[in-house]
Amino acid sequence: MKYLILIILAFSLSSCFEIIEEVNVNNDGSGALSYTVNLSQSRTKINSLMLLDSIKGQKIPDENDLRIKINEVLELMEKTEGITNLKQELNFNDYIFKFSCDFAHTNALNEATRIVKSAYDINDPYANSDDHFTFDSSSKSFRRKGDYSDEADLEKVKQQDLALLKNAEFTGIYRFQSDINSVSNTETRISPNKRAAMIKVNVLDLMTKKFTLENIITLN
Amino acid sequence: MKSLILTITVVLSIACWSNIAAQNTVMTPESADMIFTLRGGKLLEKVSLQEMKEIDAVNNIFAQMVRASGESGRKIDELGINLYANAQLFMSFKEEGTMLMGTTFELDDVKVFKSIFMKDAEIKNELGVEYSISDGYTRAIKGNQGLITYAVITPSYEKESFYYDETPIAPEYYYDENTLLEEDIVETIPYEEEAAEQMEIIEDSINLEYLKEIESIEELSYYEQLEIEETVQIDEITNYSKNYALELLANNFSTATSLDSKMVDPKADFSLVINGSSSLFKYMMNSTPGTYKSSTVKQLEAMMDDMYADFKWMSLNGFYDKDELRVESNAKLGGDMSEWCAEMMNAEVNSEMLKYIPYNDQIAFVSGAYDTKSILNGYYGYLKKMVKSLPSEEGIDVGEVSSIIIDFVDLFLDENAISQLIKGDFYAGITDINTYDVEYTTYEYDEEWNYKEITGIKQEVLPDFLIMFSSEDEKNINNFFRLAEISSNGEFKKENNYYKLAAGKESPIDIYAMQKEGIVFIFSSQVVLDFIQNGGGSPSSKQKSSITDYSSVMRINGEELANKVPLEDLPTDAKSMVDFMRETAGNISFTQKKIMRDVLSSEVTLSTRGEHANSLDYFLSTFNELINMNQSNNTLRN
Repeated sequence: MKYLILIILAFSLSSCFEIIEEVNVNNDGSGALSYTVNLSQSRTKINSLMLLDSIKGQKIPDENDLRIKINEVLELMEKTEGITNLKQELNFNDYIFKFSCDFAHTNALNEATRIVKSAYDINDPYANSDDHFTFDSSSKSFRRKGDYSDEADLEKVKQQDLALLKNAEFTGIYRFQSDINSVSNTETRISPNKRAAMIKVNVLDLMTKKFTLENIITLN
Repeated sequence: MKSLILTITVVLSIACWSNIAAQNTVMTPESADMIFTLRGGKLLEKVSLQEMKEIDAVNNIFAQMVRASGESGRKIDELGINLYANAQLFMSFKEEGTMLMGTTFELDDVKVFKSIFMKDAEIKNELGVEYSISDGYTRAIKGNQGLITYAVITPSYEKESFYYDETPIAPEYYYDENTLLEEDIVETIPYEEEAAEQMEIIEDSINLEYLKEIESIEELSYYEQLEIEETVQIDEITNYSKNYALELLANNFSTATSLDSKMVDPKADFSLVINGSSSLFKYMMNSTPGTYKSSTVKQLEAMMDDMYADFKWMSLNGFYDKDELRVESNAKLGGDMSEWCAEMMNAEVNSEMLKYIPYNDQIAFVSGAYDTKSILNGYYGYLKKMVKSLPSEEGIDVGEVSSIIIDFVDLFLDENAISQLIKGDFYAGITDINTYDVEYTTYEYDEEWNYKEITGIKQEVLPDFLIMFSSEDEKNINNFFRLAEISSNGEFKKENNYYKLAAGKESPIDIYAMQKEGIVFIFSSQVVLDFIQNGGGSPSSKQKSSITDYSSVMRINGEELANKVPLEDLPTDAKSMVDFMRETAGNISFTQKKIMRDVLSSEVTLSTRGEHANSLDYFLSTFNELINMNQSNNTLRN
């Protein structure tokens, strides 16, 4: 068995991924959202996995399965009032997936999230509510929810999965039409033109609550 | 069940030393399907009792044993068991989920043994055998011979598998016949629902509607009825176990089976014999959750008989040699299976292939010599044999229909063409493990946090490999290569006499493919390409025979493999494990011999590293260090 472990360790290192969340918010609360999920650093590993039919009893989805599932989700989002211009770019060579949409108000994004979660009966153990984004045009404040309810129990996470998460990054970029006055999250960097805020954190640190995405950005 | 296994394991572990080599079969009942023998004398010659007592891992096991018997503070040689004598564990598998397990051993202090293991129940004497029964175990002594037996038949309320017949039977599990008329139950519960409902009760022994009905009829709670049934069944199996033990000891094991010396090597430190596999698989089937008609079960059992009729017996003999642990296995085949396996496995490796094997640069490899045509020819016959007894469905003989379909499939497949394309001999090896630069996409942010894609480079550890197999169908192999070339948008292309997939998006390393001298090569290294282009090497006869003497071979160079694994990116636990393995890992080898006289023989060896008296000493100390390392890692994590 130890030989098997060695072989697995030898060929499954250095895997990681990046997630970029970009939200452009206009003064009236409308805007555009895009997500980029970049798994290209794990391409070798994913290519190997995709050659398998299943692993540990779990079916490995092929490209077609993934396209169907993604389209299902996007169709659900598209039906949400206030969500328009849905786009997707699926790059299965490098495993980079991009999704974007325009929203009439941040409430529409939250509603879309609720619809998708409801359709798939997703019980999100980390979220206290579905309002991931809120924008109050009167107080000119934008809130990115990051108050995850439970700290992940690392004892239950396998060492190899931990290694994977250690190298995974989440980047949040939030743009506005007005200058940023203040941010509540100390990890946030504000651009020189004061119209954009960025937070870049390690996914493992998010899971262990070392850092949070919770951020209230107040505009002038 | 856990405590049963623990107890049996521990008792067996304690009583596992013997040097009575000639007495391999003396204590084994004739009906045993599986017999495991440990020869303590041999083992204690290799690692002394005193050394054994100083090993934490051994002490932990025996501490559990002592706790289980309610004692504490005793040492492993203070249990009244002769650690230098033979010990055997045997199992007999009966139909309908019954299994009898027994452990035989020699006592050097009957009084001490009794005071520990027979203190919880009255000691009786029958047929010249002293015995006590507690917790379902029968502990019996005659002279200095000890025997512990335990029978397992899962009581109905937790039975994982049971049968129902087309003919309604009284649901005897659910009533006390002294207080209830059978017809009341049959009328109350429609038979068709009965089996399914029983299953639900078993899985979820909580109120079902019809149970409430029974309760009202019986005025007995469901749980009271289960207790009755449980008691009856436990009494039955305990009696069965007791009678078995008494009979064996009273008759001095006169019904002992005579194990063939081909099956058990008296020089082995431990041996395992499986006497026919049909009963074992039937037991496994009966223990598998499910609800079956009794007629279906009979048919499935007949299918098992057909499937395993040609497996006569299987044995393992283990040897803790000076520099390696060696486990030899033999399986006696019969009938068509023997003939088929011989044709299939006694093929030869293409002699041209032997000169392309990088004998001195193998980290791990597997090779085999099979005859594809024999595999295909025999496979359909074997498949037909398997399906012959398939149960009929709605008046249709499924076995016959399946057999006809197999004939049709056989008709459409051209065994000759397939066996020309892939002859059946092959070699697949890891020749090196290297770190490669691999490109990936990442992002660069400007001052306004706008981002653009850039190419990043990271290092990945990947194996260099070589795969070879023989083919006589050059045209179709070329067709495969051409097809890959056409569909790869130019990434896989022909260069001189080989095809190359250059490192890039599709593959992080170069991959080459070519055919030469009736061999198809797929590999990942320019060095190997040059080696093949230059006609390979000139292997010695010893190197050749390390492949050609066997039907299949697998070898892993543990030290080389451990040394090639980079430590930088490993988690701390894994780092310490790899470090440990760099110091201690030996080689592992599996060889499958060609079939001789209907016997399929193979051997697994695990070699030692470092300064050790012998392989038993090596494995015990390695095991001990691993446990300590694991405990240390857990402490650090906490």
